[in-house]
Amino acid sequence: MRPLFLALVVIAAVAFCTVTVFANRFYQSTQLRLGQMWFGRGEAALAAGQPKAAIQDFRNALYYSHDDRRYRLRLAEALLAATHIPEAQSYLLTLWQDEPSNSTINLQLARLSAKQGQTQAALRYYHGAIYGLWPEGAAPVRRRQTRLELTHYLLGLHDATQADGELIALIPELPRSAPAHTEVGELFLRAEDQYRALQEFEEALRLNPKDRAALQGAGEAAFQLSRYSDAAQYLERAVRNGQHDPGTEELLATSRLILEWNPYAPGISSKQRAARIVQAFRQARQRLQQCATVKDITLAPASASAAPPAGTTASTPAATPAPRNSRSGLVAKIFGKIEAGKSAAPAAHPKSIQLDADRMQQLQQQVTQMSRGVRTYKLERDPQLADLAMGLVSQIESVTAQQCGTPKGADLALLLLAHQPEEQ
Amino acid sequence: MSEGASSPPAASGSGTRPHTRRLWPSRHQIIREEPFFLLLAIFIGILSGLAVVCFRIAYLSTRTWLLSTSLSPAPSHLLLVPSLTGIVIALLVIYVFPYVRGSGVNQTKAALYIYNGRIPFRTVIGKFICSALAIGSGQSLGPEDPSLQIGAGIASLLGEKLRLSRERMRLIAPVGAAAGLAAAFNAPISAVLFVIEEVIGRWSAGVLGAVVLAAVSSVVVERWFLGSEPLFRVPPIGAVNPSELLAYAVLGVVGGIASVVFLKLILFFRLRLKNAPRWTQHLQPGAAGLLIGLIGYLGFPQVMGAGYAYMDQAMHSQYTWQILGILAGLKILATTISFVSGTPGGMFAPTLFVGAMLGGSVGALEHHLLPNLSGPIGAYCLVGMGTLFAGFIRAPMTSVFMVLEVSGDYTIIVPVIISNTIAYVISRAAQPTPIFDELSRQSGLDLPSMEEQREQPLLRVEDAMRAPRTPMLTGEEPVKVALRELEQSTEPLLLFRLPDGMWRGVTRKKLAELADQGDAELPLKTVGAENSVAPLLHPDHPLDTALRHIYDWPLLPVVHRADLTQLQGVVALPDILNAYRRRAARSIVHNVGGPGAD
Repeated sequence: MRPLFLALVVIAAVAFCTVTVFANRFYQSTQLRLGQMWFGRGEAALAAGQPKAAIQDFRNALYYSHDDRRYRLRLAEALLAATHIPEAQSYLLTLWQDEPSNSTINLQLARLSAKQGQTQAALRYYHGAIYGLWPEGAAPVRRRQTRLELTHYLLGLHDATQADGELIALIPELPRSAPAHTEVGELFLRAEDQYRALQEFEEALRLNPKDRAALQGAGEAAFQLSRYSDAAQYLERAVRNGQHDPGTEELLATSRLILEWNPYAPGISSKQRAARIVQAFRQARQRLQQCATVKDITLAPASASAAPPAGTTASTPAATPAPRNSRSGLVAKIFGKIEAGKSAAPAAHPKSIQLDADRMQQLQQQVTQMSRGVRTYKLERDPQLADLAMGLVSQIESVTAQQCGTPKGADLALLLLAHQPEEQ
Repeated sequence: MSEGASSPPAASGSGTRPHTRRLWPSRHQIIREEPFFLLLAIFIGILSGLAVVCFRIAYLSTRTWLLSTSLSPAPSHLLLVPSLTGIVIALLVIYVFPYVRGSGVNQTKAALYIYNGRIPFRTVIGKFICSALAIGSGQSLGPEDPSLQIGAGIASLLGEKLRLSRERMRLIAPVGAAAGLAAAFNAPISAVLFVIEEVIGRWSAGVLGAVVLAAVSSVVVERWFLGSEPLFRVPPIGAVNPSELLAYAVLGVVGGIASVVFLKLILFFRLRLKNAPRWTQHLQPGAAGLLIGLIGYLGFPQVMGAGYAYMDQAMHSQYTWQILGILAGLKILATTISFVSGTPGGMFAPTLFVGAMLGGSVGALEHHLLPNLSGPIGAYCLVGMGTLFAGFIRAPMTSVFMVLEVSGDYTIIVPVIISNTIAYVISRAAQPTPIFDELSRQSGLDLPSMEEQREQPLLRVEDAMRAPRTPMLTGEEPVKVALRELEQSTEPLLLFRLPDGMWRGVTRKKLAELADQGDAELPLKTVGAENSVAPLLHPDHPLDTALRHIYDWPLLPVVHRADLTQLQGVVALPDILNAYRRRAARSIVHNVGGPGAD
């Protein structure tokens, strides 16, 4: 009886198992079909810009296939689209727990963390996305895009050092395309790595010599590197190629002025150098006078020879005292970077006003003392005097820039020469 | 030793080889009952796993066919489907399957303690059909307890047909129950713990082996068919900040109170409806379905059915704390309505649902009030599930392991223990008898309460032992001295110590015979050499250990564990009986004046 029963039980169990297999197949296929149906509806709703409807559809899809990561990811994206941030984050974290190397999930989490101001988490997830697994075929492009996004994020946080690191890591991944190199060059410029920025712009120009953005960027990078001659060349090419924005033209004009006024330019004679120093000295003296007038400071009378040389006045308009924050244009931006390392302009305290007046009086006295000696023939013979004169020019331009705002024209050129002499 | 006294022979720990009998006579005589029982447990696990897979397919497909393929069914479906299906269920329960009411836990316990492990297979079929209809149509009930009973029923059928011994038959239903529950929860450890903690009530190798094998094999089958993913996808929890434990303690208090409200509601209304006229039983499940459909119609379809999809949503912060709180309250109401109406279905899933929603609500509210709390809402949902399980089902060990098993995250263990303990204590204080025990008493069954058994203080030898009334002699003393000492006392036996530290005893009658024979000068060690040495007791031994020897040894020595020659006392039958009497008197006083008096 019992062996027979056991045999019957085994047969019944096999039959039961077979029935279960078929029932399960039918059930699973139904679940799959229903899940896909709701998922399709969710995708359509999301594409139609109806994230709330999409959320409901994706939830229905998940009911039939609650472990489908694709459904969960799309639900999280729909929740993000509907600005249900904590809800989306929760799903993304669950997905991340299952697939910590999934780049798509890491990228979504990075964006969420960035939105929520969680910098460390954002950086961790961005790196997870960069070094994680992307869908087959799309990996190089998505990885590059993510690193660019991370760089933008870092620059937004004013973390130029880390942004620079990310850009350096990005260079080997760049395709042979002028816009790609130009974009990275611009980011290098924002990260204050002018040298690499120039390299990237030059690479872009090798690929497309007429790329206006690359030419402008190269000019700007060269300018910041004090390679004014190169800057002028790039900027001239940019203008020739149709880049006519005021910033580029202003930068080109300043570059030209610097080249024109630089007494230490290579290849000029000693007489020309002396003449440029005399010209710079007069320009600085005039700047001091104008700034004192603006500041309502009465300076000791200067000698009659203080008038600027003919032909220079037109190209060196008087500086407009402007609030430091209202600067515009590329030159002002670059000048701002130079000034950023210095102490802020003194506050309008009576004591500080007095100090400013004293300082300007001192400079005026020095100008008066030196005025008789600053002659072309004297400077030509006496290099020490030439250096002293240029030192005074530098001081005047610096002090007046602090007191009266960013100069323009020749004064700006002299100021930049004082701070960033041209790279030889 | 002590465990073996109350265990069936196969599970005895007495040191003797357990009784094994042949399953059936054969020439080879290979199959004996004990190994066969373990093989049978695996087989039961496989069949239970298959049955639970079919059951899950049945109730989920029923939901899709009857209600909707969407999580938000049409209003007409919400109102009509649960009520009409309720009427069908009522007819089935009354006229076809009369023993399928309730969750299934008590039926399995009844099979173990009353019906020698027998569960009619018709009940299993009825449970399958009625529960699938009930859960699928949106009644607020779960599939776990029916799965437990289905597993127990399959095991019972096999055991009966294989003509297992009565002891094995009694064990076979819990083995099947563990298999069914493990497959339903996809959590073998929790299932084993629950069956041990709430159904069998004791740990022993014989039971545990079979239960574990059945649970594991059923889970393997279930995972083979339905996948190995856990029941819930829980967002990462991370390390819990110690200061946050207070927040979880608050959850424990809230969960404890909610558990009490939940079980008081069920016990109150079940009794009322049980006493209602018999004709109302035709309408009760339908009316329950209508009310639950109305809740869904009013905007809360989440309370319908088992609700796992919504628990998942709650864990992923998809609801505000207000909605979570409302859902917890409505689920308590809906489950009470469904359960007291006599609709077959389980309480586990609704308990977990209420816990998840309550936990999420408390967690979200605490986050709102104290933004520096770091734990995600999912963690509170998870702890809330365990909290309600501990407070409502009153299975504290299972509640802890269940949370760990369904989440796979052990960092949550401390909050779970804290919260569960608080909820358990509150629930016990407010409702001394656990829900399943109280339900069985309402049904007129006096099933043993595992919680009460656990709580009963164990009487030990030290509670009965006393100082000996005769001086302790050594084996070198002559018989006449021993006789003189024994004649001056009321002890039934004189104990003396042998040189090797063992104890031996001699009766007054034996000593008198020796004296009459002229052997009064003989040393005691030569007396009764044919007798074995006295069994040694230690003060921490359970008292029933002494009872097992008292017939052969009217006076038993109680010796120090580290020094067997050091006598700490003796026990005789009157001492043991007095100890039991004292304990019984104390229990009466406690029950009259204690918290259980109401």
